[in-house]
Amino acid sequence: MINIKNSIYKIRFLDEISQKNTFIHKLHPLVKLIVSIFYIIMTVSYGKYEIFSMMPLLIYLVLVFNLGDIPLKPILKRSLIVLPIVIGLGIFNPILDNKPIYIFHSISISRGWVSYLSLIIKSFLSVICALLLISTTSMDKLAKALQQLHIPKIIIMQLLFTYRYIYVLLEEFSNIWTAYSLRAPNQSGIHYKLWGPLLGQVLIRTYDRAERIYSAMKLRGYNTEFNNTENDKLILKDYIYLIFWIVFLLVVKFYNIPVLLGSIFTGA
Amino acid sequence: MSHHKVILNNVCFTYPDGKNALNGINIEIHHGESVAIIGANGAGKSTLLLSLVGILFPQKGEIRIGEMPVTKKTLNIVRQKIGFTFQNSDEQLFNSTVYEDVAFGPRNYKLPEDEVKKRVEKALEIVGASHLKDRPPYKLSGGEKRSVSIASVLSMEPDILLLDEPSSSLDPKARRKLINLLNQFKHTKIITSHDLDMVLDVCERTIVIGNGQVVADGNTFEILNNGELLDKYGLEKPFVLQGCPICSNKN
Repeated sequence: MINIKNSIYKIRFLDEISQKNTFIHKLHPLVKLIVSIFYIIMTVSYGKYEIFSMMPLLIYLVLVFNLGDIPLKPILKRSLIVLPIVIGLGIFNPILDNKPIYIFHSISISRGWVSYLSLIIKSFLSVICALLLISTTSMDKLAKALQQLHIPKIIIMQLLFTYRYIYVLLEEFSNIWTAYSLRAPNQSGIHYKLWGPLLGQVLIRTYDRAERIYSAMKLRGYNTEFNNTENDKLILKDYIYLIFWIVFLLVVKFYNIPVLLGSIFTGA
Repeated sequence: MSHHKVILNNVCFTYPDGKNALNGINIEIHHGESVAIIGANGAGKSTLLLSLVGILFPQKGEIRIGEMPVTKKTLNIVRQKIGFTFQNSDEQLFNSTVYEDVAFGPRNYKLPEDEVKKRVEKALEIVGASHLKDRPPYKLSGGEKRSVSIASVLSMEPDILLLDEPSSSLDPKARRKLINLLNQFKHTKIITSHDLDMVLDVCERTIVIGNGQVVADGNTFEILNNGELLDKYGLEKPFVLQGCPICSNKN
């Protein structure tokens, strides 16, 4: 029960931090969207054994965290969600690809472990980047930016409605769960015989409620056109931000910065 | 002024499951009137309100809002004239901040952004919620939510306000504030409620609905004082019109 209430709070948490008023929050949503997409594309395009050359990518995240005044812990916690999937996906890498790549003294590390690690790093970088995007840009502004990119309206509507109705679903579910657990004190979880009717209830109630919300929207002139928040024009600051990150990402992709730095310092 | 008249002419509505919700309703409401629609649960009040704004379309009869019939074609114009607040404010407030919510209607009508801003600020000021502007709606108290939901329809500058159970789930102080607020409005008001004391304070005219028909229509005080009529249709005299329990015991 507490878990559901918590997750409602948690989803809203991102909504709330997206309303802050920092340098990053004030940037044009379109610019942030493009930079994030580009960042993710660049991240996944690294070769599967290139761990060290990916390190400069962290700079972007660190800067957005700091300039956007985003709390680190909650975002990292949310990014853990993908961990099980990634662990599952890469689990056979170390077994299938067991040629040694590094040898320290007598311990050899196989290519499989390295590619496994790089897979995990890539997915974390991408997920954190996406989380940072929604914690610095509200959903409405993001939708507007997607529209400016000429993404079909129907896809954007799906996104907006899903995001809006998650609360509705969770709230209905938490109400039903409270009612259930108050009258079934000694049970942990819900008896399997009731799974069917209970889920049916949730579905019908959510549907009804969603219908009423939709009516409320229609009554205030909503006609599949979202006019929430007019995005401003791009200004110089936005262009500079965009160009800076694109150049940065391209540079770190094609020049192995850590190795370059290393060779400068060691004079090799 | 006849242009904001609300006329219902022999309106009938049957739900898909066969339930007859409205059985030939005839009502005429004039500009600036404040009308309460009361009746037991399931009497057809909500169906009536929903058909006024074209969420439901009656199978028979005609509804006219200010000389304009409510049909699919006229919905946009009709809905601009009518501000409808839901019984549950949560269903009406779905944006991330109060400001966005109040601006939702005007923006949908494609008003320029500076006009939207003006309207939002004015609407919030009228309901006394200017300080809530940047708060997320789900963090407000019940009374604040109600005020904001009223502001969110006021920003569309409607001529007619439809309020579904406006005083439900409000604490006494918030309820009193709401009553005072409603009394300030010059709009035509149509209110459904079980809170008959509020009806007595806000509306000069009352329509009683029973089994999908108008069973009484007239002066609020007279109707709410008619114990027999109210009892027959699942209602009860408002507390202020019931005798004082202590004094009447003494006699």
